[in-house]
Amino acid sequence: MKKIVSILLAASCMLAAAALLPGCNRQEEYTLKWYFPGNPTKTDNKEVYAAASNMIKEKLGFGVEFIPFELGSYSEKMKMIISSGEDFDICWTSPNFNDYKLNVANEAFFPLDGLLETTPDLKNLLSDDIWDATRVQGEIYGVPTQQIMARSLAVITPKMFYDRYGDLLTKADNFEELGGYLAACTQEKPNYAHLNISWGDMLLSYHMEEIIGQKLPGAVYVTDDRNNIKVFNQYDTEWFENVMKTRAQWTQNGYTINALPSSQSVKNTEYDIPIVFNTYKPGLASETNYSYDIAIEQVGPAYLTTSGVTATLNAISATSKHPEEAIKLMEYINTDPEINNLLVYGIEDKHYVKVDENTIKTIDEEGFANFNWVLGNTFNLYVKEGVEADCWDKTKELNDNATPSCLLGFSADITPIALEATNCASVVQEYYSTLEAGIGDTDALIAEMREKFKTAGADKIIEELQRQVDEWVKNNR
Amino acid sequence: MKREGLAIRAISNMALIFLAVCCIVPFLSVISSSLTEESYLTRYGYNLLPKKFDFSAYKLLFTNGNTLRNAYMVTAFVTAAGTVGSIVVSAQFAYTLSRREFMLSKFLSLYLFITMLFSGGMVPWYILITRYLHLKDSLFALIIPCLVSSWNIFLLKSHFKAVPEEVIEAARIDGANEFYIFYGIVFPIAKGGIATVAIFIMLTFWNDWYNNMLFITSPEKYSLQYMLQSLLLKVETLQIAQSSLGADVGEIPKNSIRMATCVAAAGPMVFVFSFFQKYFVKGITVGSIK
Amino acid sequence: MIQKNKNITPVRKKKKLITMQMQFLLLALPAVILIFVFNYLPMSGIVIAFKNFKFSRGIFGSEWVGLENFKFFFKSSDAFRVIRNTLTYNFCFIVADMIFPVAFAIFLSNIRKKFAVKGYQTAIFLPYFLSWVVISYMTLSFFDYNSGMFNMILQKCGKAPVSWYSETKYWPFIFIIFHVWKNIGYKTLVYYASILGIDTSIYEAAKTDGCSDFRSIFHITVPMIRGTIIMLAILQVGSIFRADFGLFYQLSQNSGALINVSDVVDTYIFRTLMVTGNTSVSAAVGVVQSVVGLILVLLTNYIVGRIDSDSTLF
Repeated sequence: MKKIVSILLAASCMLAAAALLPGCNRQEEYTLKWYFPGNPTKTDNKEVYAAASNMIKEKLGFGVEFIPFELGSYSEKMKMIISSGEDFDICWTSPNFNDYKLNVANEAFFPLDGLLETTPDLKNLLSDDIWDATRVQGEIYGVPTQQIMARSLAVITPKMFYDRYGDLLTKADNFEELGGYLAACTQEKPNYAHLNISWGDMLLSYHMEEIIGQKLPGAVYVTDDRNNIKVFNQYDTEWFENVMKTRAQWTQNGYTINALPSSQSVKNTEYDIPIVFNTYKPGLASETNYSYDIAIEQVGPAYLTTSGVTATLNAISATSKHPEEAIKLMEYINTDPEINNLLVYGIEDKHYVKVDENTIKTIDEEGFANFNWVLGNTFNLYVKEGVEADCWDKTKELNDNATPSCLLGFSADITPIALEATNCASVVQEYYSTLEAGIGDTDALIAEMREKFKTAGADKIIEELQRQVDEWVKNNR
Repeated sequence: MKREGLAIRAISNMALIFLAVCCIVPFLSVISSSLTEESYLTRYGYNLLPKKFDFSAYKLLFTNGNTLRNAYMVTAFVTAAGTVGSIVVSAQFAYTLSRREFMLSKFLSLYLFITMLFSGGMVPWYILITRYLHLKDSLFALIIPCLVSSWNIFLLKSHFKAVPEEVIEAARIDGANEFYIFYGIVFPIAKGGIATVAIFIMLTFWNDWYNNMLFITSPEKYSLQYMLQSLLLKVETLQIAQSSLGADVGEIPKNSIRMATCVAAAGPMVFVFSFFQKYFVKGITVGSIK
Repeated sequence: MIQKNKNITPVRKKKKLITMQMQFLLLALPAVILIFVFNYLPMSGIVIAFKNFKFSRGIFGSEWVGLENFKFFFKSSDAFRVIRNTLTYNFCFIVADMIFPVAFAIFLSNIRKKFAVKGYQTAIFLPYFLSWVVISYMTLSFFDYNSGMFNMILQKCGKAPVSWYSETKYWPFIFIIFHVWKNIGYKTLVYYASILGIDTSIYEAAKTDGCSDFRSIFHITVPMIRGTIIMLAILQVGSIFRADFGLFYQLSQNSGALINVSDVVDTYIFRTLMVTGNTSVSAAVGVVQSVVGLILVLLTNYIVGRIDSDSTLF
C-alpha cells in the first residue's frame, strides 16, 4: 500500500511540475481563442467565422478562432477548460452560466481596469454606473454586452385575454394588484391559470433587490439612501406574508390550480392562461416563440441592478497571452456594426436579406444563427422583420432612464457564510414552491419556514451581508 | 409433476407479461408522442396512440441530415471499437481474476475494486486526458479511458468461475498455455455470459454523452446521445436564460422533437439487442456441452 | 496421469508454475496498465477534498484547509436528512434488486419458447434505454394535476384529484418502483445468464431423484447463482452512500415540497455547487462516500467469507 501511495505521489508531482512549465512563446502569427455559447452545429459556421476572422485580421492584425458551445453544456465545458489551465483569450460569462463571480474568485479572469484605458471607445460606450456594476472587490473583470440591463417585472399573457382585459393589467403597479386581471381571465376558464413567477423581478415591483440571488435571505430596498443601506431577511417581513396570502387567496378564489404547477406546463395552449412573469424587454412580444399570440405589459418601475448589468459579459482569461489584443478585439466588435452583424446574422444575401436600412429577413437559419446577446453590442444590430423597428432605441431608453439601485456595483463574498447559505437554500427550496403555488396553509408554512431559517443560520447571513455592505459603502465614499 | 411444470410456466408467463406491459407502454407513449402534432401533445398529454399522426418531428430531424448522419457514424464507430477493445481487455483480466492458481488474483481484484469506490473527480481526469495524453477533440478520448469497467469485469469473472475446473486442468496437463486455454477453451464455453456483458459494454459506449460533451469540440464528432442530451439540456437552460438574461433565446425544442431524437437514439440499440439475444438463448446448449 | 506427474522434477514443476504466473500476468497487463493510468493517476485529485480548490492555482497550488470541507457537510442542517434518505433508499434498492430480478430471471428460465424469451427480454429491457429526463416527461403525464392520467382515473372513480408533486407520502414508493422498473431488464439479464450457465444435467439428476420442478428452483437454481447474487449485492453495498441523481432530481421534478423524501447526497452536492460553487466540498463528500462504501464492503465481504468462502469478492 505504501508503495502505491509513493508511486501516486511521484506521479502527481510530475503532473504538477509539468503543469507549471511555461508554454512556448510564439510571437509572429497568432490567433485569439474565444469561447461562447452559440450553435456549433450550424452548417456554415466555418465560412462565417473565417470571414469574421479575416475582417479582424485586416483591422487589428491577428485572427480569431470563434468556438461556440451549446448553451446547455457551456458551463460544464468551461469549468473543465478553466480548471485545467488551458490557454485561451476570451470567454463569455454570466451569473447563471460559467459563473462570473465564482471565476473571479478563482482568479480565472484578467483584471480590466488598466486595459480599458487603452480602449477609450469601449470604455465610453457604457456609463460609469454600468462599469461599476461589473466590479468585484473593486476591479472590473468583464465587458457587459450592450443589451437590456434595466430590470422590471413583465407580465406575458395570451393576447386574446389581454385585448379584453388589458386595462386591468395596465392599472397594476405591483404583483398583488394583478389579482383583478386574473379574476377577469378566470371568468373565461376557471382553475386553469399557470403562474410562473420570476421571483427577482417580482421583488423589484416592490422596489426590493436580493443581494446574493437564488432566493437566499438578504435583500435591500433599491431606493435606500446610499449612506444608510439596511439589509433585511425578505422572508421575515410582513410584506412576504401579505404577498403569499394574496397568492393563496387567488388559489382559493379559483384563479389558479390547487396543486404544484410544473415547469413544463408553462408554454401550454392559450386556453390554459399561462401568465409568465419575466424581465421586461422591448420587442420581446414579437421575438418569443409561443404557439399563440402574446402580449407583454411592464408592471412597476425599472431599476438598474448588478445582476441585470452582469447578465451577459465577456471576460479575458487569466491564461491569455494577449490581453491587450483581446480588449482591442472586444472594442472592435462592440463598436463596429458590420462585424457584429456578421457574427450574429451571418453573411448578407446568404443567411439574411436586407428589407430596409435597419431591418433584415433571415433566409437560412439552418446555415447560420447566433444569440444576439452574447457577442458585442445589440444596439448595433439589425432588427429582424416583424420586431418593432425601434426596439433597440426603446431598450436604450429604458436602460438610460432606469433608476440605479443603491447596491449597484456591490458584490457579496459568500465564502464566510457558505454553510448558512447552503442550509437556507434547502429551506427556501422546501417551502417556496408550495407558497408560490398558493397551496396549503400559508400561515403555518411561513411560521415553519421562519423556524427553519433560524436553525439554518439566516440571521448570520443578514449580519455578514450588512457588514460587507457597510464596508463597501465606507470604501466607496 | 407434469401439472406442476405447467403451473410454474403459467405463473412465469403471467408475471412476465405483466412486467413486459409495464415496460412497453411507456416506451410506446414516447414513440407515439414523437408522432403527435405538438398542439395535441400539450393539450391532451401523452397517449399510447397518436391522436393525429404527424411526421414533422422526424422530417426535421433528418433534414438536418448531415449532423445526424455524422452522429450515427461517430456513435457506431466508438461503440464498435470500444466494445471489441473493452471485451478483449476486460475478459483477459477477468479470467486471471477468476483463477485461484494465479497468485495475484485476490490482490488484483482489490486493485480493481478500489477504483469502483475512489475517484479523483473530473478535473484531474480531464487534465490527464487533454494535457498529457493530448486526446482533446479525438474520438480516442471516448474509447481508451472507458475500456476498463470494473462492474463488467466482475460480471465476467463470475461467468468464468462457472467454467468447470476440470476442463482447464485437463488442457493444462496437455501442455496448453494460458492464452490458448483462455481463447481456445474458456472463451467459447462462456460465450453466453460474455455476450451479455458485451451488450452491457456496448450500451455504455452507445449511451455515453458526458465524455463526448467534455472532450469533443468539433460538431462533426458529436455523438448521437450527446445530441439528444444537448436537446434536453437546451430546454432547461433556455428557460433559465430567458428569465435571468431577459434575453431572446430562440426556439425551445418541441416535445415531439425531443421524443423523436430519443427514439432515433434508442432504436438501433433495440435491434442490436435482439440480434445478440441468440447468444444468450444459445447459452443453454453451449453451457451444457461438457 | 499420476505417473506423468512423477516424472516432473520439483525444479521443472516450479519453472512451470512461474511460466503460468507470467502468462496470467501478461493476460492481465493491458487492464492493469489502463486502470493505473485512468483510475489511479487521477486519484491524486482526492487531495482537492482537503484543499480550498482554486481553478487558476491548480490542484497542487491551492491552499490546504484540513478537514474544513468535511466539517461543512456534517455541520449542515441537512446532513441528517440526506444521510437518512440515502442509506434507507439504497438499502431498499439492494433488497428489491435481489428479489425481483432473481424472480424474473427464474420465470424467464421456465419459458420454453425461444421467441417468447426474446420478446420478454427485449420488452423488459426497454426502460433501460430511456434517460431519467425522458422518463420524467412521461411520469409528468401520469402525475400532472390537470391532465395527468392518474388524476383522470381518480376523478372517474369519483375521488378528489391528488397534487402528486406536493404529497410526500407516495414518493418513497414511487422512487423504489421506478428504480426497480428501470433496472430490472439489466439485472434480470445478469441473473438469467448465470442460470443458463448451470449445468442442465444437475436438473435431470434431481428429477430422476424425484425432486419437483418447484423444489429444484430453491434447491438448485438459487444456490447455484448465489455467487452472482452475493457479488452484485456486495458491489451495490459499496455504493450505498451514493445516489442516482436523475432518479431523485428529475423524477420528482425537483419539487421543493418533496425535499424531505427526495433529498439525497447527490442532490445535496448539486445544491452546494449551485449556491457556493465550491468543488472542494463535493470532493470531500465524495471521499466520505468512498470510505463508507469501502468499510461496508470489507465488512460484508468478511461476513460472506465466514459463511461461504467461495462467494467473496476478493
